[in-house]
Amino acid sequence: MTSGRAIRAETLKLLSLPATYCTVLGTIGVAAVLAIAFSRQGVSPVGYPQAGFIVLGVIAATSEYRDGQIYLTLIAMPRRIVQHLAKLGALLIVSVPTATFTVLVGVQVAGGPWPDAVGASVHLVLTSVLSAAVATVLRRSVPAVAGLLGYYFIVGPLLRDRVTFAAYLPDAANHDLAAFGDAIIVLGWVLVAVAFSATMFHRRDA
Amino acid sequence: MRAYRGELRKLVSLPSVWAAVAVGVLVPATLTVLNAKSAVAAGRGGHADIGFQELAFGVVGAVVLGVVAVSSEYTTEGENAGGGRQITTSLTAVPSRRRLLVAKLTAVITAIATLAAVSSAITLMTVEALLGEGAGVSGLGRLPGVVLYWVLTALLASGLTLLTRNGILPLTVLILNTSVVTVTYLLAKLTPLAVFFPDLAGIRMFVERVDLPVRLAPVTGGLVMTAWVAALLAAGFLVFRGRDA
Repeated sequence: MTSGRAIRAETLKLLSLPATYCTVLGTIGVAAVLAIAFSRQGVSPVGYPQAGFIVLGVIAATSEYRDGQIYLTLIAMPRRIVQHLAKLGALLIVSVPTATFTVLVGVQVAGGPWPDAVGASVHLVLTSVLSAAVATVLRRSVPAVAGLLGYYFIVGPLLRDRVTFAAYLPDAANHDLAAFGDAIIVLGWVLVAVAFSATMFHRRDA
Repeated sequence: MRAYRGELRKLVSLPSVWAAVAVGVLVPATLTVLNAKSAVAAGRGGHADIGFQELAFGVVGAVVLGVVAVSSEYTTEGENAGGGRQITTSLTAVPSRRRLLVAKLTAVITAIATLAAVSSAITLMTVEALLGEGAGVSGLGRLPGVVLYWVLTALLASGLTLLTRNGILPLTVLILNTSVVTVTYLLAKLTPLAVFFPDLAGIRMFVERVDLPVRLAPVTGGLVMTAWVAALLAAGFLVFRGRDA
């Protein structure tokens, strides 16, 4: 019962942020424009929109730390693990429809196999959860955004063709969306990151 | 002069700035090692741009530094630090907004020029060590291009952040556009006008082989990029002067 109310509270908080709406609408809009512009050049539907989901995850986690909101949150909900998982649940409530819509727009405009669309949505959602976990540990939005974007857009793609372990990194599913094994790898990373962030959040001072 | 020294000290005291410095040095050097090794393994020497293309990725360090230099003024401190923002203190110490901005941008230029020089020296020495035969030394004439490109990119980032007062948007736009296949590069496939985007024009200052419909001369590329930066900084200054801190 408590966890249900915690998820409801976290969803209300997330939906009260103007930044959430800006990110969601911006992601869908930019994804649509890029899909129209680059449809003939074989640009992957998850490439650039990933950035929007990274930002969404980071905002969901770091908004607590901007004006001391976290103190109020923990007074209302002292059980930290439940609170943290509820926050990620609220993020899912926002990111699942956003991801589905973004990918549908991309597939509709550019044309593409439908099974890939499912894989792409799952990948985008997992990316946002991973970003929220990383941002919970870092607590500040600018370092989190810079680090995650730098990894997903610069370091990751450059490592991909050059080192053998690149296939086991969290952005593995980038290159083959329908591959089941890659999705499992990403899911594994997400579980590790969430476990780590929950432990940190549980043990550290707010 | 004292405002300038103050700004330099502020930059040096930010952990994000040191992270940006680490990124700016490590990314091009590591990439060069990986690329040179695969070039040696394939039995060919480096091409004319080895080291320089990697330096074009290292510019992400300059982006982060340029953004953080401005956005750090606007982050709210924690409740135990009074919930204030650095910008109120900065404007109390240097009430002239023009002077504050000039001092800040000069500090950014100093930091980035040093970072770019150090990073390119390390990268080109790596090329020289791994490939030999003057592969690294032959490009020395292009070094000012690298430094200028990094400085202009950092100023572009600062100018954008002056407009948004928040680091997330400029970081997203600029880091996305430093990725392996950039948005502007894809746009250049649609319209030749895209070669006048600041990054594509600026990169011509030191990269020779680019797959673009129009090839700008290095000096033209530099001038185009400078024009973009000047326009953005002017807009940033007008907004900064006109609005409450």
